[in-house]
Amino acid sequence: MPGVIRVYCIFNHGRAPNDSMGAHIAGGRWNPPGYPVLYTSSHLSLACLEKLIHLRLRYAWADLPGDLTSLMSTAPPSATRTLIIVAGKSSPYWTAGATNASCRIHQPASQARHPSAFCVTFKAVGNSAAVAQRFFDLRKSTCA
Amino acid sequence: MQMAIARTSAAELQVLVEHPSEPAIREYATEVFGDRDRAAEWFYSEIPGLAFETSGALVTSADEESLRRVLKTLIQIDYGVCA
Repeated sequence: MPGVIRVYCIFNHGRAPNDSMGAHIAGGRWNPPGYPVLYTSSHLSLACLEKLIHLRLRYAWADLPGDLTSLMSTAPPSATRTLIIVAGKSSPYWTAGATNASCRIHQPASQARHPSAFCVTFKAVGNSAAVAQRFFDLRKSTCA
Repeated sequence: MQMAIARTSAAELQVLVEHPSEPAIREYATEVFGDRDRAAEWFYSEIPGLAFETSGALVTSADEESLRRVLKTLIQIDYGVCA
């Protein structure tokens, strides 16, 4: 379906799929601690790889959590490089069509090494309960 | 039957990152992996994300930065953060 993009992440039981606090506390590949980011992948296998890097080499398959959750979001028709989505606290699902969020694209050089990954950054909008998520399709941007 | 394990909140993890301790990290590892045996196996294995060091050696080093490295790795596993 045009304009629809599916992203994946694997997270443990008891954590919400749009919970960005892990990256906020520990930091991640593209963000230092203090910045809430939700990391997702363009394919479930890539999400698995991101998990395996933390696990035992020989027995990583046994360490993988049983809960594999896929997330899907829809992109605006005109957006080929970026996607803005908003997740309200009341909604467990991602919805499309942010209207009150600004989107600024940033591409650190280090991201070019991982063209298949996606990065979503949450940014609070005023006092609203909603958060803006900046979505950056690295594969498309590096191919453009 | 597997016992349900209470999840450490983000606020508690934040405090733990600021003041890491070996017992608390081992407890959190049990929570992340689901049981003590799997957590113990993880502590005695070389982990690519930790530059092939064993997390067990790092947490027993009494070096706060090493403790923090292991803890952050566990948080990344828990939340699915790319390292």
